[in-house]
Amino acid sequence: MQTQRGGNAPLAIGLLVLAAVFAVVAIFYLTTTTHFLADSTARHYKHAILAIILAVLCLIGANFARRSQA
Amino acid sequence: MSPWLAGFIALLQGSTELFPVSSLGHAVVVPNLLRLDFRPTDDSFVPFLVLLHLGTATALLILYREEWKRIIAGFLRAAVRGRIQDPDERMALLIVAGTIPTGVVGFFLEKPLKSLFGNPRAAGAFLIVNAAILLGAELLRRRSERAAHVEADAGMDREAAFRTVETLDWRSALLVGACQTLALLPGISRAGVTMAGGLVAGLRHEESARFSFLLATPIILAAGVLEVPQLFQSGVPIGTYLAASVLAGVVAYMSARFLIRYFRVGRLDPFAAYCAALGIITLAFAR
Repeated sequence: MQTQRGGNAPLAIGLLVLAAVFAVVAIFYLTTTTHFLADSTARHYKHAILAIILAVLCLIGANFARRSQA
Repeated sequence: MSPWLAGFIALLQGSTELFPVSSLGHAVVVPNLLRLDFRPTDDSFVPFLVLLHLGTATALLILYREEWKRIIAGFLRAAVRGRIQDPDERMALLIVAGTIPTGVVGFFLEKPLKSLFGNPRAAGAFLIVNAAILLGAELLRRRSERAAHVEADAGMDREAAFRTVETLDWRSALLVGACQTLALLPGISRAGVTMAGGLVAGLRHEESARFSFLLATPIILAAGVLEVPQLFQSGVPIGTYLAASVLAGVVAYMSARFLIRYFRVGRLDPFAAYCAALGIITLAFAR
């Protein structure tokens, strides 16, 4: 598969920031009783798991963007 | 829920989950049409559905076990390296790209959409929409066949003129994945819309079905695993539910084997006709 040299730094940084945001969101849902984006006031572990998955995917995306694939 | 009813719903779910006819639509419509004492809106339905889904996902994992081993290894390699170097790595990331839209949308719209579970007429109407989607995809495919000067009744030769999943581009994978979000509506088939999306993207029928099954596995598995804690609520007849899950898994496995063989030369038309008929019957007779 053809690749090109040089990464897409702005995209990589954006995805890293997004990963950090999702990590904070995950911690928020794991530690706080809330009804933010949820239907009841409780600790929403499923929301936290989704945020963790999205954070990991953003990190992977940042890794790809850093190496910029054609 | 009686063991007989649990067995019937498991058979229904296992046989319809992978066919392009909407298992959720059937779970809403069929008990109503048969006047069974079963409501998909009941709280007891969720843990039951969880185990049925886990059974179906397990069947798909067993069916594609060798492919999944390569895909998971490929995903880990590509994620660490930050670059795609072989078809397995590409397939892994196509599946991730195709899964994200439904995962996020389904997560946040789960509750509002559940209100539709109690409305068989809405499910009947969506079954007719599903039929239109399947027919529309086949109409577009026939147009592509004419443009490519392929004989419509040439079977395997006809299919050879189209693409395999490995050649799918990112935009198409995202489009097919985004199609899955429609399947959150009872009556719209996840397998149906992804196969239709695959056909529009130029995939062969068999490859559309394969990509649909591969895309389905993480979503079905995740939806099941996330709801596992509900199984430990008091009053859940775990033995009956587990037996139903195994039954659903066996039927889903057989369905998948049948569909892979069918779509070597078969089309979506018969499923469209079936969905349209069931939708019309539901609108006429549902209570």
